[in-house]
Amino acid sequence: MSAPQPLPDADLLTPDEPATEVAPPSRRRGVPAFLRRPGGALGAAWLVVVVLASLTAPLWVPYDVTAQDLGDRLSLPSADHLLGTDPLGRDLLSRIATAGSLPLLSSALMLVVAFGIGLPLALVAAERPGRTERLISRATEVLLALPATVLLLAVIGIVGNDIPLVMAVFGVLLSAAVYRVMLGVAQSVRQRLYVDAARVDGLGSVRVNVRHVLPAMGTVIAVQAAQLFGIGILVVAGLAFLGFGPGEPDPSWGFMINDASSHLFDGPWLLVPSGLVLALTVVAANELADALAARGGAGARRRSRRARTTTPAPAPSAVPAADPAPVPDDAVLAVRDLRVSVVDGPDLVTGVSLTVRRGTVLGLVGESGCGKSMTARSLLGLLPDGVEVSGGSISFQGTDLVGLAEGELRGYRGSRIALISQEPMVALDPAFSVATQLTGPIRRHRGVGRREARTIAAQLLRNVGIVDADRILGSYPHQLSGGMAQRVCIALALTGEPDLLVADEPTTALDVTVQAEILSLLRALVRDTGLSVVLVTHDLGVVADLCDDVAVMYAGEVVEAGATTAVLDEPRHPYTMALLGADPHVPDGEPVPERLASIAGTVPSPGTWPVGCRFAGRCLFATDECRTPFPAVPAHGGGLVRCVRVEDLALHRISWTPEEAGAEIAAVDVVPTEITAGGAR
Amino acid sequence: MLAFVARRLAFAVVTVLVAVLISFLLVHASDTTPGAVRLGAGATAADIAAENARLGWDDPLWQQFGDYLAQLVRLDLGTSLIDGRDIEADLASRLPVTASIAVLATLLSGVVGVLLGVTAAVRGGRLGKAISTGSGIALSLPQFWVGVLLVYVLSLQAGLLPATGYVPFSTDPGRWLQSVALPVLALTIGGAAIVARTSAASMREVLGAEHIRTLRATGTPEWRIRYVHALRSAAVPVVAVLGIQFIALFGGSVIIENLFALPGLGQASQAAASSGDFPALVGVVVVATVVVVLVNLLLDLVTAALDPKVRAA
Amino acid sequence: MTAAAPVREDQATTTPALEVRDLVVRYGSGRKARAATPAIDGVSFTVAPGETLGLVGESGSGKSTIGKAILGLQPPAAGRVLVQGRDITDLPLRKRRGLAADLRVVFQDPYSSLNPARTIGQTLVEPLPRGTADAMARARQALESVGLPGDAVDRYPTQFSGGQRQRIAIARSLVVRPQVIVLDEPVSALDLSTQAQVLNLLADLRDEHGLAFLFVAHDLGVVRFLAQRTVVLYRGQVMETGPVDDVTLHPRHPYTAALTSAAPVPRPAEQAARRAAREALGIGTAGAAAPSPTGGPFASRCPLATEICTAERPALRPVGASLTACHHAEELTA
Repeated sequence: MSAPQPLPDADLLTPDEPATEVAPPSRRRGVPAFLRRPGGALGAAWLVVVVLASLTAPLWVPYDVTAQDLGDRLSLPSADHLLGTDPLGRDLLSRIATAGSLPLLSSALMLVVAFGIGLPLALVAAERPGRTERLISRATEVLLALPATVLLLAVIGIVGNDIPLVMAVFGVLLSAAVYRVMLGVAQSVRQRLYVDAARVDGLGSVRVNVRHVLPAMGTVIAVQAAQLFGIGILVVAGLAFLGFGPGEPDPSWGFMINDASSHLFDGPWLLVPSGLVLALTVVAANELADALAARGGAGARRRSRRARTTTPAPAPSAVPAADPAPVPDDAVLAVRDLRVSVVDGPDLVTGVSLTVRRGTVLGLVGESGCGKSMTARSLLGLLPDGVEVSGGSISFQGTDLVGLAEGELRGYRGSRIALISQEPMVALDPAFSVATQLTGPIRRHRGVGRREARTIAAQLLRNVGIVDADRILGSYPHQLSGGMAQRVCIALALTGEPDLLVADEPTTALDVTVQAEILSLLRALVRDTGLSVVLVTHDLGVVADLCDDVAVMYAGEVVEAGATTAVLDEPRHPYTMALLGADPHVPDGEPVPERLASIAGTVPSPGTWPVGCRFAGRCLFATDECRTPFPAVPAHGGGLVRCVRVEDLALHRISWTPEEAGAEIAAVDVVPTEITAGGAR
Repeated sequence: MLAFVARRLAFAVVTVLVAVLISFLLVHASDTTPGAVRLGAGATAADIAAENARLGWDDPLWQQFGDYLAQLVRLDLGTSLIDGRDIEADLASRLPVTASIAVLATLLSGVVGVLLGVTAAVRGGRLGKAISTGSGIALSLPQFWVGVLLVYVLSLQAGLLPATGYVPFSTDPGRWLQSVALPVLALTIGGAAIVARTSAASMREVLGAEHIRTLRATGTPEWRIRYVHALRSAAVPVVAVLGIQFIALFGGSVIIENLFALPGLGQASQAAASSGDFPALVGVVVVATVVVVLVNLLLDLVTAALDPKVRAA
Repeated sequence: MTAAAPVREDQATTTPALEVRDLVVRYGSGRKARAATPAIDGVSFTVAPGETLGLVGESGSGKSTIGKAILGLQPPAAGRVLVQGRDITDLPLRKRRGLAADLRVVFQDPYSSLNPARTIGQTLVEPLPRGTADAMARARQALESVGLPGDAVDRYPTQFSGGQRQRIAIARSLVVRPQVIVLDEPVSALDLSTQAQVLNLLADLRDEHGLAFLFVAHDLGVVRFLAQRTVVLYRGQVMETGPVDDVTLHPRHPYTAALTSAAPVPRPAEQAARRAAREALGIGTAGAAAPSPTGGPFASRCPLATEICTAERPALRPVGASLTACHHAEELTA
């Protein structure tokens, strides 16, 4: 069960580790995470009490389990009999406690059998895909399709009431279910590169499994064991209810409930103690399983809460310009002083101002964690849960989109502002054909009938360069290649004839030759239809290829903006210079540099931005004046540079040069920034 | 598609064969013999041996197995060792009882569970939390205990429903419904809880998926996103769970039929198990396996209809 | 010697650090898999000691599969893999323990290539023979050689950023002082500035220790920075191979031309010229038509394709300084 994530931005934070991930031991110190959930703690406590009480029952129970007292039948709880008595006047507490060891121990035996068979099979099958895996999987599928309860009754009919043996047989049947779950987990663990790395290290099969595969499966094993333990208890009790258990006068939970069902008139209380103990034990096992399963999520939540409470609201690094830049007449979009924040948390984007002119492409460029995707998504009001626009304005064709109700925003989405995203393969609904996904929005946006919508859909596909439009219309997303899927996504974005297209890393997941095709397509659309585009990318080459204007983002703010030719050919901000120097792609005539420019350290995460220039900590040219707030400097015509030393640098023709050869192996990194930031990664 | 169905059918046949083989071997691993069961406690060893010889117990194992399969192909499950009744006729009369309870409980679990689960996923907040906690507890409760509690509350205290007995549908549909209401309810509480959990988790996952953001970005109305697009993708695991539920309910009916005195398959298997009536036991295993296999087949078809990827495979 | 024998004369006399001969890899088993086109179809190349060979291709080209086949993670259907002249093709992974000292790997994803439950130190000493006396000291030394503090051995991978993790992964391959390292897209998961650090580091290490790299990448720009020679793959076959500057600046194969011209450079004016040149090439849309089973894999997209291209698979032949698998290579150069 995935917990809601308070800070769900892939661009800014590393995603939660999957639940199968092993927490490093350092986090295990103190109370285990699963015990911090009330359900997990209570469940574990109850199970410990029941197990201890049952196994030690002969030592402490107040009455002999068979001692009858016909004068005190079906009594309610009293000082003598804490849980009351049964129809023969026997003490319920003594009987319940004594009866516990059989279901607990035989369920444990069942677990041992089920995992003893299922787990090794799963490990072997995961290691040997192909024939071995197919063979084992087929066999377990058959086992899984057998009717377990009826088969168990058949076993009882033949071997008699030997409950541990019956449960061992049940364990054999369950091993198929264990195998299935464990196979899935083992296969996914084996996908991890550290398993391959260990194999390349020459580790044997057993050591790879014990050292690398099994530990990563621990959580899932614990979860499944807890669940199956609950099922085992239920089965033992159910069999006893039917009379297949320890016979009278020996006590069993199931038969006590059966007994109670025939005394509903004269002793309804009888139903409560045995039933409740049984039910609570199973509930406890399942709650424990849930808590174990949620362990990974709990860790992530703790981290983010800390991030929230300990971050002071950072002061804006730059003094906002006294009067905001005027909005040009041909602007489709004018963003002014935009601020995007986590609700009750740190800012993710501050003071961003952008202008997109009609029929032009604006590039938002920067490394991961710079807030470019957040900025782009805020244009459509499609920020993740828990993230909001907390200041500034987004003026689209004269209307401020900030503060519009969700319903009003929906009127803009698709029809006036459209989105294409990074992963075309998952951006389309896998359950519907391309035709269905295109005709829906076409009919909604253009108010046409089904037949006409299909004609328009085919035309749109041809417009985005798909030759056999009819075949693609009938396809499902999984049948498309990445480039084809991105073309369909672009067609989908065009269904409402939008004025602005927000393209969030539209070519990052694609091969370079396909990227070139998609960029050409976007250029043709801009040229032919007057569409305006906001293009988010980390690739300066893509910016150079497609964008008229560019805004370079770093740590949630724009550090340099202007016409693409001006910014890329004559960068003035040290970060832009460094990025260009780090790019190994050079034009054909130039030699490849011996060394690339690099930037020490990493982008500071939201909430840890320094006052003044946010890049100062990594900048080669930073001085003390960089660490106090300063205004952005106008540059590149209508653009800006957010650097207090920009004049200095220009005067002395300083540029960001690569370090000497050999510098990388000589210089020992200073303490990793992540460690000082609290190990947030 | 045809190849897919053929593959599943072949698998079904293998499964039934394995079930027969396992129960057959179990029977022969037993230290009692059919002759002893048939003649009862008073019989002499010689009588038992003679009876066993007559029943073919002394034939080679593979021959007995072959004979049984030949019988099975003719839809003949043999006769009971205890009272000589025709097993296939007996089970045929019992199947509708168990099936109607299991089908009704599965349907009800599906409807209630999906409603609760989708509500929990879509609304979230305190209501979502309450649903997830409640279903977490409900799915852990022993069905027979819930059944007894329901009898106590609805039948004994409120007098709304009959506690035991079965009225065939053909006799009186109204009273039939009354007679199965309590057992169905007892089975549904846990079933709906499991379905609710699965559908809530599945729905939450789908609603967070990338293609849902694409739909939002094209201005699709929220109801359409939730109930046309998300629900369809979320339905795949829910259907799988419903199938498992049906199978579990079908098997679990043994206990509930005992509690409510319903003349179903479960009761027959319980009786056969306690008396050592081998042919009846094997018969129940065969019938139950066939039902399970058929349900799985249906399940595969529904999944294929919902998921184009499965259809293509 | 195979068709892709080293071009430079001086290499022919020394034993290559790594040699791959006529490698064929098929995925899956059974009749269907045998009938399908193999993932790798007759690839040969050598890497000289101290040399970096770039293995370039797009998704589906099989570049990572070749890496896996060399490392023994994916058994080849045919062909040989030789490390320093020793045939290791059929050596099972467990028997390669001694060999681990010679052949190492750095994987693409720095997040999944380190076991989060083990300390950096535990991971680094794994390839060392059990009971190596100064194991931890060597781990510290390896970390320091990639620019990380030696006391990182006691930390866990979660405490490091992507770039630092990739340094750790490199340290892991250095700990046994290898001769050949397979670099499987080591920088493609990293941001530009971090990518530059790791590329610089790799160049420094190569120069310092005389390492031979097989550098698997999809980005020709990155390959041009690090490699001396390159092999261009398309659908499991070698399209062109030769000195990296010849291949990237004067491509003889239409696919190489398509690949080099598609990578954008961050200079608006130059990029506009490159774009115009690319559009003039007239390369067909990727995946639009299936390649012919008998001919060259690129024929269905190729603007130069004639009948012979779909009828006969072109062999690698010398054109200029490179080897090219194209019937019409001369037309492109002209």
